[in-house]
Amino acid sequence: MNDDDHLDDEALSAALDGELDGELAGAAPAHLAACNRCSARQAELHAVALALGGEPAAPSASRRDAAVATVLRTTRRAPRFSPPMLVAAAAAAAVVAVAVAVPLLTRSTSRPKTTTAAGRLRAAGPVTVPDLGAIETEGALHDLLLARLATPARSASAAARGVAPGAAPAQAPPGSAVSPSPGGAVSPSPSGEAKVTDSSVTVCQADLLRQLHRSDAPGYEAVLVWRGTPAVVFAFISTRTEVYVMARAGCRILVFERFST
Amino acid sequence: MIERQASDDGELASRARGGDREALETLLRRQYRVVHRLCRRLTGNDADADDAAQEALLAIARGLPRFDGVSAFGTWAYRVATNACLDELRRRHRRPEPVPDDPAAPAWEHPPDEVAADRVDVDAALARLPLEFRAAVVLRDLCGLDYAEIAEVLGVPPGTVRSRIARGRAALVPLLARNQTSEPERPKPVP
Repeated sequence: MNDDDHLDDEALSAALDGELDGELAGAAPAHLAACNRCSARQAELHAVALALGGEPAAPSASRRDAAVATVLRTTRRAPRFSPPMLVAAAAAAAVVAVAVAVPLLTRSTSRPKTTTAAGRLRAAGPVTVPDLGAIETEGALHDLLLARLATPARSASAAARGVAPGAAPAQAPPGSAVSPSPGGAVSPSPSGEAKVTDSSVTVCQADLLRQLHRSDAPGYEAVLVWRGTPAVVFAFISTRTEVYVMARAGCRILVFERFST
Repeated sequence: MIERQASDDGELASRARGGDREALETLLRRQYRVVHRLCRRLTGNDADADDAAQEALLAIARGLPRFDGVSAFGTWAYRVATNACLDELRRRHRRPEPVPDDPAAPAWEHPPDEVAADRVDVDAALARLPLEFRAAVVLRDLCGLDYAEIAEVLGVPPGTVRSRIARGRAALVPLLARNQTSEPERPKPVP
């Protein structure tokens, strides 16, 4: 490089980290030694790096102990979700899966053929499907669900697992404490996050949202890894025109969206 | 700067995967400090850092069966923790502004930290960076990861890491410059 060719921020920054390669790695030190402008700029970037390297306040030992205890307690139980959520009628399961999956996946405003099917299946509980694997985007989530649920054969085999025919699904109160938000076809709920604090007890918002689902309406559930976080995805038809989708890790809501069908 | 307990942690992780609860507890206790300081810088305050660190620790414990041992345990744990923090921040960003005087609204609002001015400055400056840049510079300058490791943590190419770190640092130069002046200023509130 010529002496007149200054190093840009990217080269100066990478040089600080020993991450320059190629021709620049050999030429940069000599240039920096000779060029006041570049060495001054690098000093500025270095000052930022040093400031960022300052240790933030350490958490207290009691905070750590509480966090570790919570995790140990939470992970003791092997099942990822509780038995009542697994309950479904095996015979209806395949149809339910299709009925739910299609309106979810199309995201269109056109009237889906599944509306009738959804109405016909009101006696069914949630359907469980197998582990969906690692998913990074909402689009990928929809595509994957479509692939798993669109064919009756796959859905039937999926429904066969974890299904306990005859067991009574847990009934959510008809008038839930949480009301769905008005808004566009793909809008996050204003109340879909954080925890709701009662006078005496902290209620997990994800559980409240879960109760939006009336157990006699079509719904499904699956485990997946959402951007590296093990999670449960739960979807159900609330009315004939709305599908709710929630992915959660414990009380933490990763995805909560409503789709018009 | 970086504390690496690579071989120890890898061994603890494999024992924990096999159902060894003591190994899991030891591993989590070790990881908490590392995870918390990452979350602390990414979220910018103690209360959010506590929440995010708790979630991150849970995600690590639950994700252990999926830890394949191909990458170093530390890198994998950083990846899980970073995702937990970024998810938390994105959710908060998406959250609508609470209505003033609504008694239910301030539940997740925390008063500004009463901490040293220089810490507030770093947090306030970082808060003005896009998340992707914030994560890159924090993983580099606080956590001491190299570019290849950061690329793995963030799931982007190394060239992108290099660019984000450079642009992030450059954006912080004017914001942190007052730390170097002899006349300290009162920190400004985070916008």
